[in-house]
Amino acid sequence: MKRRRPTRVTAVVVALSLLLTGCLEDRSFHENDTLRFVEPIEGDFASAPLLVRWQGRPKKTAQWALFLDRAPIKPGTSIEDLEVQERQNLWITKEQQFTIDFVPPRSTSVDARRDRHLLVVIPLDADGARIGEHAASVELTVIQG
Amino acid sequence: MSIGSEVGKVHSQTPPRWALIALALPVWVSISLVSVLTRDMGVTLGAGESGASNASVLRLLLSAAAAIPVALIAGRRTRWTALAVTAAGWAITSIASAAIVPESAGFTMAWSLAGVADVVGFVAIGLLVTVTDTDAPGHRAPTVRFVVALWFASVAFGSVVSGVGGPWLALNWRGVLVAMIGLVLPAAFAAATIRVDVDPRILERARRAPSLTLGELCGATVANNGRRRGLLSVGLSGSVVFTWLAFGPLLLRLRWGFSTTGAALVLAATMGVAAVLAGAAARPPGLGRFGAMIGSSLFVGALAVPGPKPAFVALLIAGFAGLGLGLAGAFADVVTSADEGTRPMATAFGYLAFAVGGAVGVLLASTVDRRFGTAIGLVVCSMPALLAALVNIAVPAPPDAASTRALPVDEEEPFVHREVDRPLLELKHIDVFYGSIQVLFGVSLTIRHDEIVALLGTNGAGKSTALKVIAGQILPRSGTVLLEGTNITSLSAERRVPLGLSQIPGGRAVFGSLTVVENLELFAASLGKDRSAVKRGIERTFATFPRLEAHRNRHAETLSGGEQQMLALGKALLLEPRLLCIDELSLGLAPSVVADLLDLVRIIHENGTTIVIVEQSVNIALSVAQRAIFMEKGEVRFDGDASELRDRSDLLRSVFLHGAAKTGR
Repeated sequence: MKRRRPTRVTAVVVALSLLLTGCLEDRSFHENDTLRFVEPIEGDFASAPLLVRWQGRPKKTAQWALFLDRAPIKPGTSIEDLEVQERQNLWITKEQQFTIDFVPPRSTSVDARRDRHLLVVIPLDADGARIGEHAASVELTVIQG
Repeated sequence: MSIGSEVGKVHSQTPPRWALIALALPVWVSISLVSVLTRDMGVTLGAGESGASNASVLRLLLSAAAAIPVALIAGRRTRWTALAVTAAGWAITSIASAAIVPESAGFTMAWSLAGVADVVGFVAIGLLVTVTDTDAPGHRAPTVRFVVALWFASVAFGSVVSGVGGPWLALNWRGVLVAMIGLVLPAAFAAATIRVDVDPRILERARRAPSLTLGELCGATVANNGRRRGLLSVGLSGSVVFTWLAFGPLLLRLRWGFSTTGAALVLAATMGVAAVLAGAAARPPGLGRFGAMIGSSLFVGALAVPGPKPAFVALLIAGFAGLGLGLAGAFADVVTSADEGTRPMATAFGYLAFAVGGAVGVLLASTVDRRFGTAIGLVVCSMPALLAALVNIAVPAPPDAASTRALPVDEEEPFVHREVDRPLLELKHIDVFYGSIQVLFGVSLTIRHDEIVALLGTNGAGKSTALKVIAGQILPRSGTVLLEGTNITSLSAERRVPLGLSQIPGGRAVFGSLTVVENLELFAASLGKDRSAVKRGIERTFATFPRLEAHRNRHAETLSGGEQQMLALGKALLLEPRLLCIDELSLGLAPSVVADLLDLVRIIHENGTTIVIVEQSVNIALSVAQRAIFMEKGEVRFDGDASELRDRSDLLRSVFLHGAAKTGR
């Protein structure tokens, strides 16, 4: 019987180990539907004031942080650590809905009256720390009045 | 699988395309992933848009830093398989690490490591090209262009997998990464099974060639003016390509309202069309440069002018068609204008320029983006595309026949067992430029063992330049210098001296403020620290030139012109070179003094040194030489017995007329 070359076997073992490690770490490889926006939905057209609603509630969730056109905080970090100037386009709420009264235009748009925006919501614990990597995002076009 | 059997048969063959694809896919497929899935990754990791660009910059900088070390390893041509496997393994490990690490910092680190895979893969592929395709003379490097096309095609494929396959299978970005591993794993294993049995004559040539130092490799790579401009063009193109990769999908979504899938498809289309044009076009060479200019203009226009969506996409794709043309042409020029020994380094420098250009472009775009918005950032950073086009136009296309400095195998005798069978020195198709002015045009000449050759011609014919090429003081733009069949084209001047090459430059080649003995001791420095050898050499010189011994403690500047030339000739006796090149021995000396010096030249020759003597005075040169080479306007016009040249009044007339005009007679 032909003997397998040890380098190939090693390569396969390394590759599979890495993949298995990923599974053991409880990393999801599929889109996570436990947290998602109900309103608006992806690609929607809307105008201010903008009503935002989402559903799903990961364990230990005490409040929510809503981010508009900016990155959410990193997993494990707390919203309390942000400086005042870092709190732009960020809202904290205990409800699963929020109304954004004014949506500032983005500088990248061809037509500022029909702007593309990104909304992100993440769950926070009672201390304001982000829970895991849970997040939901939605991209929508806001038509300015 | 062995491709070596084909290498020995036909020189115009190229490596199997599937082998190149198997190498390229694992390494480059993930490049576009971050840009396509920026939103998904940013939301999960809290990295944001700047996080994606930072990861890209880190990956580029790391790959740029790895380029030269990898090329040094790759210089040992038999190691390329290990490089290929390393590249594929590293790419997969990086992708897998990126997929499982929970923190953004960890992801950035893993992603940066993938940069090493980028360059390892590139140089490994470049090396495969080196040992096969580029040995073929008179072609336009189809495999080099194919490799550039593969880069674009891999990025396009990665865009489709990320932007279309991911959403279709409901995979998040980690899922896409894992799926990519599944896709490229077979290719990686296929790459690991490729074996190159290089033609034994190529290996023998490589074995004989002296290994070049890093300085010599880098010097040889950047010394060529055309290659420098080619590198600039590649760098500018890299700036545009990577800026587009980092910010293009974001702009497509935010400015033009594309979905993630739509943006990925547009990205794939731009990269795909660049791949097709990069692989397909380069003939005629002007087409690539013209296409690059038109395409780059369209690219800038697409970003600068708001217009209807279809027109924007059409302009964008046309722009990348031009960029693909220009980049492939410039890269092919950079790689194929290097000789066998320096080609891995030229490939590395090409990649270095590409990656550094990309990193600078992304950083610039990122800065402008924060202050003025993504659109203006992209417009500003697309300006290099126009510059690249202009540089492309300015780069002279290498002539087909001289596009490669690598020696075709069939030009060599099959197997040479005795070094003495070869000529002592050969110049093959040497082109030399001073700035943009060409002074040597495809000069080929041969110096055989134990002969005295006169190199003749008018002032400005290129005689002294040819000597400088032999001595290693000037690197030719193209062509090869062989010492007994060994390629020494890129070897520095000081490393040629121990090989037996010595030169006495024109004028008084002595140090006037030093004494005669000190001058000789300085000449003898290349003999090393062997004091007794130095002493023996000086005694030998004094025995041959008693007049020098009489003046041993006089400063050289106080000697007569003839004595100073005598002192310069003493260098030859000290070093006992195999080849001594003497430039303008008789310049400004009385005929009786010249006659004495010619006697000394004969003595040196009788001691076993081959001599090339450059002279404007035909009579003086032909009185001592057995063979003559006559040069005019940078080309060899005559090469034959000295006696035959005396009968060529058509050639000699120009020397006499020139001399008469100079002296006013």
